[in-house]
Amino acid sequence: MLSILGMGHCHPDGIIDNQFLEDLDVGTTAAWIREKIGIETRRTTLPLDYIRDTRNQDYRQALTVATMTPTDMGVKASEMALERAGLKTENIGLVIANCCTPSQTAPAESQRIAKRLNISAPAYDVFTACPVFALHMHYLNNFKEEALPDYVLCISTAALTQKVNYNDRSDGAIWGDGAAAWIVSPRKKGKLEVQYTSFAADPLRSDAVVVDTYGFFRQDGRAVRDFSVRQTVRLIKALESNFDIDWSRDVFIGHQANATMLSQITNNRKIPDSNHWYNVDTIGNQAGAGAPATLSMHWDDIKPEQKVAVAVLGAGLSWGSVLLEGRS
Amino acid sequence: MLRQIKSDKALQILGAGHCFAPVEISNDFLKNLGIRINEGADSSIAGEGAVSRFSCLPLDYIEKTLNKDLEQSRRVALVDPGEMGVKAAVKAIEAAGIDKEQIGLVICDVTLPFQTTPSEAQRIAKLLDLKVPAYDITSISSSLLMQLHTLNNWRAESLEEYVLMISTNAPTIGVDYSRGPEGDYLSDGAAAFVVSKSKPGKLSVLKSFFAGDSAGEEFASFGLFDHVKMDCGRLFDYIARVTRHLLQSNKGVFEEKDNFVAIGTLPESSRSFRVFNEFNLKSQESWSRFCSGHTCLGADLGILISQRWNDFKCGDNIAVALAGFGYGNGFLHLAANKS
Repeated sequence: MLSILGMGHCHPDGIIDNQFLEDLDVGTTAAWIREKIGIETRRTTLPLDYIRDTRNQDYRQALTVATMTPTDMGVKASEMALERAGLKTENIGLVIANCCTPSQTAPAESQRIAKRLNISAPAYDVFTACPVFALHMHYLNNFKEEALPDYVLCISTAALTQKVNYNDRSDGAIWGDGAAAWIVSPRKKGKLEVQYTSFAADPLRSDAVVVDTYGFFRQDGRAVRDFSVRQTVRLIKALESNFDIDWSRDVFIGHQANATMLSQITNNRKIPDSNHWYNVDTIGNQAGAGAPATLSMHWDDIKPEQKVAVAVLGAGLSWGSVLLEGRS
Repeated sequence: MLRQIKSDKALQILGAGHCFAPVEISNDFLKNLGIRINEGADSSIAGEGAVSRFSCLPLDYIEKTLNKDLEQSRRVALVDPGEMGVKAAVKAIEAAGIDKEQIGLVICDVTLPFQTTPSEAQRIAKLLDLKVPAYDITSISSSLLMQLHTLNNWRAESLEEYVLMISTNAPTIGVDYSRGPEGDYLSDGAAAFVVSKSKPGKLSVLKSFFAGDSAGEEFASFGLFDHVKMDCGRLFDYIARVTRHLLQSNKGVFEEKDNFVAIGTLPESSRSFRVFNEFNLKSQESWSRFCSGHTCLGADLGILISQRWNDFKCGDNIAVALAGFGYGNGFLHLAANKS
């Protein structure tokens, strides 16, 4: 049975608030953003002056002005996860990573992060963008226990603000930048025990969410929103049916797409606010890093025997869930 | 390294397919551009025919622009990695004798995608009209070997009945054709396997090993907005060193046994023969994409196997020792079964 021994996260210092977006004068207001998507601030690797002056119309320039790369954020998140797990880089036997906004594709993101951490182990990317927390856990859960090393470092990192057209009133309000890392072991016990994993996809709808290498992020917003709410509710219901979940004790973490959507989901499943963990309201949508970064930010709040139900989805279209249980 | 375990059920390769990009780039074409051709690679090896490489870029575009504008290269490309992946996949599915609807999982490797989201596996699954889980697993040059190793180490009950694995690469879209050696060595193509643990196949994965050292040397950079940069001298020395190590560590598999062929990533035929000959692996039975047509990165292994798919006879064995870009390396022992 897999365990998570430590988690880490990293968010850049730059903050885009709603007033900043209103002041860009692209047809949105702070009040509209708050009401429609429930996000107050989002973190960015881009200097605010650069966004204000250029609206990031040349997304290639974003790479040159960014304060951090996805690799930088992945390294910092990994260092935090290692420290929490009480491990050193030489303990890591495998690194897998996910990044939908890489600055280069070879070496892979996992290999660049591993090199920076001086990890002498195999590294490769396992990628599906947003629901990667479920994918990585499900991927590792499929292995024969003895085939995995003692410690696997998983990372998801993305800088979507570098792929936003800030003349678009919607996309600028959604995205934030960040990274999350978590250390998984097939045989060492950790703070979280993995009870269940799932991953699925419907590639027939894969063009609903796209990041062009030479271009901006684009999505079919309405289709994705409807899919997100319906599919997340289905994932939670499946966990409720198969496991002893008590929402007065247990915790839900969803894909950090937007706060309004998450409220619709928690209202549907009658999950109290106190047991709903999220960070999208202050960080923005960090793609695959959102859910694990949220869990990392609550690492010290996890109680023994408390279940953490993570249901994530997004580009692909793909989705998955992970049920974790706290251990003393 | 990933642990090496005895498999309960060996992974089976049921079908293989490959596809090259439609444009063939000759040595003369590159020489006319002023690119120096590696003389080692220029000499053809027995039975392999002329050296060439393939590109999704039109020749007149390369000649006129030298591919200086990387954004334009994506606009003029005659095919993209997804389309090449589909062609290879269709052939692999046909060779496996199954219907595409029987595929339960699609995994893919791509080095220079035209879109960074969705995954290439999801784009290919859509083009194949498959509503199944799909995602990318990428380790650059060793990708197909690593994917085979991964699935070989999954529990049999975790594996879908039929899995489609693909590596598709169009590195020439990142080549600056005003200089070498990238234009000489890189080629566009795709390969696919259909694999299973519950159904018999033509090839069994009897042994798999994958390792890597990400803290080690770096030989290439594929930036999204920069031209590809390769350090061939150091890369070739590294490949020879690691191949020799992989063969030495696994020589018990093939030593003093007949019916073995070897697959490697050795860049020059002379060097390839030398290393394989050290282990009594005959030169005419040593296959390398680098020697015969340059590298399509992670797809090379699949292309080599697909090209000989109909020739494998029961009792044939293949020793695969791969190293290259992306820090990963590994070894496979494949054995042909009774058809």
